[in-house]
Amino acid sequence: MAGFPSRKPRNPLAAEDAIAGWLFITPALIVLTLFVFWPIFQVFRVSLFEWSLIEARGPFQGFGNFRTLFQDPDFEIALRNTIWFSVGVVPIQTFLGVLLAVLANRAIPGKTFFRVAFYFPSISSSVVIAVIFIWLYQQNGLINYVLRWLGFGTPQPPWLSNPNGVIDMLLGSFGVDNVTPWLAGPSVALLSIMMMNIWTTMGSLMVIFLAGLQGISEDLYEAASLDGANKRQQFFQITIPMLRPVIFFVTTLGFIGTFQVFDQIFVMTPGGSPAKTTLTLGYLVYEEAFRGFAMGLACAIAVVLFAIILSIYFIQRRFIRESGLE
Amino acid sequence: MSMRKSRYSASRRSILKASAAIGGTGIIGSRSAALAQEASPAASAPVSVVAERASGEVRLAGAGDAIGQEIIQAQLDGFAAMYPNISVTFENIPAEYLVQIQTAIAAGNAADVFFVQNEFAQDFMSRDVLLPIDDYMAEDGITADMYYEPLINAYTWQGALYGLPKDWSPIGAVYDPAAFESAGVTMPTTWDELRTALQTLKDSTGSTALALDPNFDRFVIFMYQAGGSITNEDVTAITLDSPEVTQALEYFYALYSDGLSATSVDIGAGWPGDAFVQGLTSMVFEGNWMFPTLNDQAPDKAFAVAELPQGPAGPGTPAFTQAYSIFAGSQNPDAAWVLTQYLTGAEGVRVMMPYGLALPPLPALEGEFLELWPERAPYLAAGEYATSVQYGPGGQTFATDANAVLQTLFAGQIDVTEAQAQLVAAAEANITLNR
Amino acid sequence: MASILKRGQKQGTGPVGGTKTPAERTIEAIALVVLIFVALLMFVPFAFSIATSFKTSPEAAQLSFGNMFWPREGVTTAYQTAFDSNIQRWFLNSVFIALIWIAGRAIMDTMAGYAFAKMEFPGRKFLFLLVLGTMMVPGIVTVIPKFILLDDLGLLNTYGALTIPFLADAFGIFLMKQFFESIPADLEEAARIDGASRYQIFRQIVLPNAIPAVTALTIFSFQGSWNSFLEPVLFTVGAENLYTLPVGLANFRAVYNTNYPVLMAIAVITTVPMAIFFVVFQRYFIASNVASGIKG
Repeated sequence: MAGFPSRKPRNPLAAEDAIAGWLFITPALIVLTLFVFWPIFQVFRVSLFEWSLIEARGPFQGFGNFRTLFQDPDFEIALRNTIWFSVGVVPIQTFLGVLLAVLANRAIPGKTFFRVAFYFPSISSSVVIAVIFIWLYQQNGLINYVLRWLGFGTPQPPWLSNPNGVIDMLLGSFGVDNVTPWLAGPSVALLSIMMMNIWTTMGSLMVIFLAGLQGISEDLYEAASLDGANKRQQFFQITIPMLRPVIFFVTTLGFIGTFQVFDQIFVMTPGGSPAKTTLTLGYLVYEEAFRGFAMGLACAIAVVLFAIILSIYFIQRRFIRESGLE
Repeated sequence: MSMRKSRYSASRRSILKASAAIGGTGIIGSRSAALAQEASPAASAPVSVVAERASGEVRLAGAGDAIGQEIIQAQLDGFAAMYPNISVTFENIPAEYLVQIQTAIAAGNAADVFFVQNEFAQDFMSRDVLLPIDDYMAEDGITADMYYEPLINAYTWQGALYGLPKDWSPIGAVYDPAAFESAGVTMPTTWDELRTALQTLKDSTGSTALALDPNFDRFVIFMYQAGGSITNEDVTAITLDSPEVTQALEYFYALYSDGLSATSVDIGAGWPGDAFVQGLTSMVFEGNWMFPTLNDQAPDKAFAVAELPQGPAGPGTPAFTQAYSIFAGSQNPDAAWVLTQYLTGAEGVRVMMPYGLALPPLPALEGEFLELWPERAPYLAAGEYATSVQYGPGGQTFATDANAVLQTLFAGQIDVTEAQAQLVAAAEANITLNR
Repeated sequence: MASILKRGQKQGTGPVGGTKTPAERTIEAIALVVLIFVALLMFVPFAFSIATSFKTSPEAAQLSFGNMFWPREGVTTAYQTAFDSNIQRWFLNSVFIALIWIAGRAIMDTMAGYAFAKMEFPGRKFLFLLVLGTMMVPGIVTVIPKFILLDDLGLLNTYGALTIPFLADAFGIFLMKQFFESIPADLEEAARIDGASRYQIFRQIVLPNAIPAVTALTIFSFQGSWNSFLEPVLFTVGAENLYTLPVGLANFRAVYNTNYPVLMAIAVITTVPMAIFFVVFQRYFIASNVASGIKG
């Protein structure tokens, strides 16, 4: 991780730390063990059984639930949608977070105003935001109104009801048809939710990047400037590398969050609405657990989700480590 | 009185799932006028025999909003007066009712009496989560025919009854009389007449006259009217591949593809009722919930209700209902029963009637209800021929898949034959049949 | 995370150097205008909710561009309904619970994050991975075992259910760990050489410099608690006196006949404290110019 020299000198506090370390984590560990580790362990365990929640737990299935899952067309659809969602949202929201933080960090008047403004969407109730965006995305809503005013067309059917894949549509305009589902891209409906998601979270990310930017000393920039580096070079060779641990943090959180996305789907397009194009793994978990009376299956999906996210985390870490930390 | 609709289900925008207020009407099958007079006197309901041995605490769980809570509280006050030995704790679940109730059952700590909505009733009944109440009913002289038949059917499973309906609503035709008049159209009574009327209205008003979404719980209107069904009587086979269903699907889709109906999305509203409230369409197929909605959002708008046009096999409409059921694991079933029979009996139901949020489940109270709300008569009339909205155990996931199929059909990506095949496949994949 | 600046270092505002050409100035001006425009856009939903909260139900249903941000007929009935429904109680509950979350996490997450970042102890890597991993399991299924556990512990339907399970969280620990890792080691080394114990180092040197991160943690904890919805609904089993603001809000969200003005009124009442909280605390993001406690 950033900040640690690769080989530490002998630590005179080693012995003390061995105990102190445990003492420091104990309070959190107690809370987490009881209320987080234990429930998760239960979830993992239940994934090996058949259970409808309202009856006594059913027979041991071993990996039966997982087998069912991998043959379930809904799972494939959900996986595909979730991947598109994540791949679309994480880079963009990270980029915007950095951009906004950089802009908000400059010596411009009204810095506080900008910080508050950009953070505002993150603090509003997600229900309210969803309700507002449902209205915004309507056929005669504000977004279409503005698009028409600017002379652009609007998607038919309108946003949240449009099941056509965006890449599919793009390729279609070049005459390429019949793209496999996996390459059709997110549907317009899913894209609508992605845009809303980015809009809501970029403020929080801005906050995190701001904290990171604040800590980069002016001296570094001045030294580089004296060496003849222009602003763009300074940005790419000082700012970005120094932000690497923050970027890593933000993208990790981004993947963790986007892969589990559920709330917005639930409020805006329940049922994965336009032809299941907004069905995500997170939503499928809910559907199977509470409407499908198949808690074991739902837990199996949760386990698979966990495995995917964990893998991404490891891949990310390796990737960042290899590119060399400052 | 405030007319806000009493919504129970979770905060979903999804249409339909709401135990709508129930309005009773009509001359229900076996309910004869004579019995009606006998059972609906001004005197209070007979005191439960079971109550003589029942006492203690009972927990009641409901899924209501602020108004719903108010109604239940009033009912509980009346209950306390009549049965002072039983104390009731009311737990209102403001959202995520289905999640909450299943979690509580899993933990073994569900309330003694709770709401069961028609959508998941069969899933619960087939899993022995609810207590059969036939014996209690016999003891207290309550018979199934005191309630509308479709409602009782919703809570009957393999010969036993597992809950008593507390309210209901069918789907009716809610329309704009002024628009009809200027177009010179009267309420259609057959499928063909409906098409003609919609075309005339469209020519006259310039916009599509019917807002109808590609949801399975609206498609069933036409399915029932054509004589089709999802499963057979004893839920041992899927019957979605019948020619009646084909006919219904073709008619349903043709309304849309011929421009006679539009989806709420096309119109730019949140749901068909919204389109009607905003005056964007002349007719919608919705239930009693339109009354509180309109009263709240467009109190000056004139509207009327009529029974739906009939299909080739006669009249048909879906009924949405909720029941109070007793948890199979209840520690105090006797007291739970006393509460249940009170809330679903004449005494309890009378409390909610002035709110007009749902129709009473007892045919005996029709007269009283119509005195308060004469315009609801068409809804009550449906009590005779409505079918409760249930798709069998596993029905909810079937509904999700079915909706996706219908959306794809309306988007023009598949044709009717393919859609029907997919519906059959979805039913076979999701619905648990009795063997 | 924000690194600790060394003594005498100025807090950075970004790349420097060179005088601005007129072209650059124009671009900057345009960028500023765009920025202001986008910033104002961020307030749109909030402005919309405020406007709606002062409308009557019928007007809210007839939404158009004319009355989107300003009601034609302003009334306060929505707020009256909200107050009649005991919104004060919900507000107090939310505040109380938020304070406990913040206190718990500020202490436990900071300590744990520091330990994971700076101390060597057996099992450290594995434990951290375990903690991190807990964020990767969807909460919608873990609520069920949590519910059962709380029931067994007799905590259901009490404030305990809304606070105790949340006193520490994986996100907070992750946040603090990342932050502490970016503190240069020399601050601590100097203290070690002076003979300070780990506990002293933590209390006297590290904590004072951790203000930006603890602030971020506080803001996120407050946010997490304030908007928390699923657990309060499930764990309070319908006990109205335990409702928090989001739960109270849900009460007004019907499937068909959502009472938008009241919904928005509650949303406004919910958002305003959060906004104030952020405005107040965001200045602590400025990494203090640390003259620090390092003696020459």
